[in-house]
Amino acid sequence: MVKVTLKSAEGDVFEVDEELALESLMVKNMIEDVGLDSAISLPNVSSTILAKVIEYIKFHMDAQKDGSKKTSEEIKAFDDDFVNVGIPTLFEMVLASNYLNVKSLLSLTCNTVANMIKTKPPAEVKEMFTSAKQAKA
Amino acid sequence: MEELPRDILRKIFSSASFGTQAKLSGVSRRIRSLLRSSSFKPKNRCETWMQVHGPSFQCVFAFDPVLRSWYKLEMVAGDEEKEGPEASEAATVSIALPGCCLKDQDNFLWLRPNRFAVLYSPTSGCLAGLFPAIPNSISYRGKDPGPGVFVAVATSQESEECMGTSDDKAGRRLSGILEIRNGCDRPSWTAIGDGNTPGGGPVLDDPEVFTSAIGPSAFYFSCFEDAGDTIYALDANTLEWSTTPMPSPSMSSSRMDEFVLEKGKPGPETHVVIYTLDLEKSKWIRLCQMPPDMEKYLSSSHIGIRAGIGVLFLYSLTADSFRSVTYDQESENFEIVPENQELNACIKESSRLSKQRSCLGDKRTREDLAALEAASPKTLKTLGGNSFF
Repeated sequence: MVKVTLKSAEGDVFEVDEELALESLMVKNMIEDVGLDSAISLPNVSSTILAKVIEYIKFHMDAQKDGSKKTSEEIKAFDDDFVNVGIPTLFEMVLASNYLNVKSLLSLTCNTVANMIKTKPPAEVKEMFTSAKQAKA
Repeated sequence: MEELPRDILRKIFSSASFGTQAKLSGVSRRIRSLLRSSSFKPKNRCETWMQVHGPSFQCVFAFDPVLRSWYKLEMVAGDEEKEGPEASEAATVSIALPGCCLKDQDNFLWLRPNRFAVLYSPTSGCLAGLFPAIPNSISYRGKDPGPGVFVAVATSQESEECMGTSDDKAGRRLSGILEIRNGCDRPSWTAIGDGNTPGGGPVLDDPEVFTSAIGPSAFYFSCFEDAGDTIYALDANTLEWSTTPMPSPSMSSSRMDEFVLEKGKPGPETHVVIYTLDLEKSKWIRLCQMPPDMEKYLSSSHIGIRAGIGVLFLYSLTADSFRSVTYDQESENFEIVPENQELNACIKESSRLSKQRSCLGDKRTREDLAALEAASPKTLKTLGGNSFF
C-alpha cells in the first residue's frame, strides 16, 4: 500500500494510506502536482485537527467498504460523537475540512453549527462566534 | 483562529432555519457586518431586487436569499431642481427581473439574470442599452437607443450574442427584434423581424395593457385582446413566437410571463392560484394554490408575482408598505419574508414626495397622486416607470 506523508502546522508527520489521503481533494491535487516523494505540508491544519480529520475519513472509508457491518445508526452515532466537541474545535474542523476540501466532513460540521445557532437568539449567536474567535486568539 | 470564510457562513446560515423575524434581523446584522469586511459581492447574494424612486431620490433594495430579507443596496441622490417630465414623474416602485443581479456602473444598474442582460438607468428611469454578458468586465458599450425607446435585451453567454426588442413607449408598439453579433467591442443592432415582416413578432399597440418581461428562456409580451389576455412568448433559443391565451379571465394582468396568478371568488372564500406556462406546449399548468393566511398577509385584491432563482416571490404593495412571500417549488412551501421597515419608509417617502409635487400644480402629478392614494400596485407600476417591470 502506497503511503502519503502529511505534515501539520506544528510540523508533526502523519503517514496515511494513499487511498485515505485522496479523500481530500486538496491533498489529491497536491499529489498530482508534486508527487509522493516529499511530505504534503498542511500549514493551516493543526496536529489535533488533522488527527481528527484522518479519524473521520478512515471511519467512513471502512464503513463504505464491502463487507462492512456498520449500520447507518452506528455511522450516525459516530458522526454525532465526532462533532460533540467545543465550539472552537468545531470551527477549526469547519476550516480544516474546507481547506482540505473534504466535502462530507464540511457538510457535517456546517450542519452541526447551523443546528447550534438556529435555536439561539442573535445575541448568543454573536457571542458564540466571538468566543470561538477569542478562544483561539 | 481566523474567521469563517463567507461561503462557509452562507452554508451554515442557509442550513439554519430561522423562525422569527427578531432572530432573523439580529442574525442579519451580525452576518452583514461580517460580510462587509470581505470581498463578498452583493450580486452573488441578490436573488431579486426592487427599486423605489420618486422625484428626488432613488432607493434600491435587494432580497438576500440566504438571510431571507430585503436590504438596501444604495441611495442615489437626485436633483431637486430638475424640471420637465422627469420632475413630474410620480413615485414608483418596481420589482425586478427574475433572478437578476445588480451592479452600479456609471449611474447604470446592470441586471443580469441567468441568461439575459439588460442595462437600466435609474437616473432616467428607463432601460438604456445593452451589452453582451461578460461578468465582471462591464462597460456600457451598446448604442443608446435614445429617449422614449424601451429596450429589453437577452443574451446568450455561450455565443456572446444578444437579442432584444424595442418598443416605442409612446405607442407601445413592438417595433423590432434585434440582435448583436459583433461581441462586446463592436455591438450593432440588426433587425431580424418585426410585426410587419413575415416571421416577425406581434404588433402590440395598446398602451394600457401591454406588458413585457424576461423569463429564464424567453421574452414575454402580453396584451389584451377582444377574446381576453394573451401572452406572446419569444423563445430565446429558437427565436420562435408562441401565443397562449390566459387560462382564465380573472388572471392578474399586472405582469404576464411564465407565472401568472388567478384571483377570484368561486365560492365563499377568495383564492389565489399560481399557473406556470409550459413554453414548448404553449399550455398553462396549475402550480399551486396560496394558503388563505398567506393571502391575508399580502392583500386579497392586489398581489403580484415574480420569479427568482429557486423561489417565486409574491408581493403586495400599498402606499405605506411592501410585503412579500416566497414560494419554494421544490418543497412546495410558502413563507413570509419579514418586512423591511427601511423599505417601507422609502415607499412612504416616495408617496409623500409625489404628493408634494402635486401641490406644485403639475396636472399629471395630481392624477398620479389620485392613483397613489388608490394604492394599487398595478397603478403604481404604470406610473412613470417603464413597462418592463
